[in-house]
Amino acid sequence: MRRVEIVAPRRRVLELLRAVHRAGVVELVPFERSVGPAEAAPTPIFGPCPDCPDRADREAALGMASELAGLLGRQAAPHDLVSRLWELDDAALAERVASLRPVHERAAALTERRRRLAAEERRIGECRELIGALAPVAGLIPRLRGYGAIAALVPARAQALLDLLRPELELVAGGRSELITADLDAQRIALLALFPREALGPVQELFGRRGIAEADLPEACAGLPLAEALARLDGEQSADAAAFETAGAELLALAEGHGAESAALAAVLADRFAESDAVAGAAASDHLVAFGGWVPDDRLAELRAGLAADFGPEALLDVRPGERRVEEAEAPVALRNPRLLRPFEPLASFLGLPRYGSLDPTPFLAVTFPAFVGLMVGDAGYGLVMLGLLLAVRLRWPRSAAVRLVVPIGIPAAAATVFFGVLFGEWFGDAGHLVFGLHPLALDRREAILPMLVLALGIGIAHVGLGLGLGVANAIRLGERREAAVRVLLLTCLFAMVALVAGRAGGWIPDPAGWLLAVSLAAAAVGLVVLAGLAGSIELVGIFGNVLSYARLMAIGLASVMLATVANQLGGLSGSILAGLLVGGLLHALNFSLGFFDSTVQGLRLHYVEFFGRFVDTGGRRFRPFAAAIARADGQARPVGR
Amino acid sequence: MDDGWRFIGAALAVGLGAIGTGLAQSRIGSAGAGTIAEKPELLGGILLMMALPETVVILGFVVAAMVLLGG
Repeated sequence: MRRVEIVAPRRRVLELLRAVHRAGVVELVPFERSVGPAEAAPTPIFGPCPDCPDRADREAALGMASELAGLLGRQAAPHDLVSRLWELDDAALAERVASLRPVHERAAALTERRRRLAAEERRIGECRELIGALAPVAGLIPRLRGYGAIAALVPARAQALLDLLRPELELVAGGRSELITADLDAQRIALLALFPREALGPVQELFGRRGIAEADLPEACAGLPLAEALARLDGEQSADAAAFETAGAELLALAEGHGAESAALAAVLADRFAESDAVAGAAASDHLVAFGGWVPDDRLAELRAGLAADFGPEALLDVRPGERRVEEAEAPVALRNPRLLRPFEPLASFLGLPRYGSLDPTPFLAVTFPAFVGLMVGDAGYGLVMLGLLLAVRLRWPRSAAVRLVVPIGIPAAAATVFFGVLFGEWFGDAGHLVFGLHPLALDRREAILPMLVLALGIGIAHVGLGLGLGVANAIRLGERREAAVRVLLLTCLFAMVALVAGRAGGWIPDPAGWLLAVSLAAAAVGLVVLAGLAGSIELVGIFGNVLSYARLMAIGLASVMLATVANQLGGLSGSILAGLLVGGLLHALNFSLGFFDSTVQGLRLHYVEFFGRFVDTGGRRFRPFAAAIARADGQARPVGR
Repeated sequence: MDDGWRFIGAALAVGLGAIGTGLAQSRIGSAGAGTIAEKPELLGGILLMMALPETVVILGFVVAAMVLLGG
């Protein structure tokens, strides 16, 4: 990552900014950080740039276009349209916005109409329910002249309130009232109070005091018998539904005609608005304007060429000499990985972005995480089902952000599951063996408990050892010699201990070599305590704890295969093919979900705690380039370089 | 008789480890549920913390395997 200053004639400030925005490779930094200390220039030549375009106008236009895009369903802005609009000046964009104003007004009116109709439909629905519940009971009551009624809905838990209400209603109505209730559903009770019309005021006051809201019946139903009111409500509801559909169809037609344009306009106007803010952060003298920022090393040449093409000798790209102290304190971090590994970047930076200049753990995680999941689940049948599910989800929701995030990680994990499943001979547990006579190619996890445990611990030693090795490389990169020495000693301790234990157990280490290893181990341990004090000894114990933690690779796998075997056995016990398939299928579904979920969490945990803990130094700040919509669409804003 | 004691030892190694893990996870889980209610974006971190105490039962499992397979 390089710190740069871009200088150009002040009259071309907006052009320069748009070129930088279009390139999408510079993270701009504010003006006060882009010039040297005050004592270096007692009378600063550069001050804040006053050439800021009218921010309020741009904000108003952006607000209108964004709102319209929202009203019309915010379609994805087509790239070619964004490119065309991006070339327009502010006046032409304002014209476009003005031409969409009638569309905006109509869309807003239609949306409001749909909102009101939906609310009315809900209200009518509630009234229908209320009347429907009360009609059978109320129908038995003879029509009485001079009597009024109030209907209401109360929560079922307020039954005690109704018991209180009944005598109070009798009291205010002079003993000439009736309270009819009917259970609407498990949560609500419908209520109808009958009383002499002259008691309407006191009854309403009583209902208000008790917090019971009267049902808001449509005026058209006033004075009608309940059965007629119900029919009237049916008619109104149908009319509202038809009007709702009509408004929706008109809105859809507007979206088809203007949705893409409004979305593209909103994207371009958002860029202009961001440019207004960026100008405010620039530095300007009487004749020059300067922008400061960070650029990835490998994009510098591209930026230089772009500026030379647009401005010739009028624009100067000044690259500051690298200052490690400044870079470490201020430079943003951009991860640089091949396309296949990029989906793993969010996982690798989940606990924080690596510190500037340190190693990126993404490539290591991209290889070992799917392998760990595959090793733990280790069932070819489950792996194939997972592959099928991921592909189906990818086809069904191709644009979903969650799908784009999960599928590229899930597919290698599912493929690894199939691979290990074939090695272990597991096809839905032992179903492959029982039905097709399939055998393990390597080992049977149900029988080979000790070899699997040794394998898991071996992977742990290799993984933690790799982490320590990377930790040494990282510490050297960052110039932390003491940290590098501590990790070398830890690595020595780990391998000396492993060689000693394995060699003595296998009997292939002669005595002199064994003594040599023991002395190395002791010397490294003493060195650790000298270099790192108490923390060194704690870390040494922690390393062995970390290695043992990898036993979960075997333990979770064993639990998974046993549950799958139990599923098959229980399915077989039922005595009926259908019941057997149902029982076995349900248990396999449970094991499938548990297996992949637990393996994912445990696989990540092994990386974050046992592996990353040995070399990843977090604290980096993400590189956020000043990138226009057009640059984002071109993929130019992809943060690369370091 | 020896086998019996080995089985009991192995069961204790896993069982006590599982109880310890359960106790730790119950506390992390209740605190985590409160955290997620206020900040749902921390779900991933809380899930990871929930998985941390499982090392205890895994170590118990390793001890049990050594006890059972060693003899």
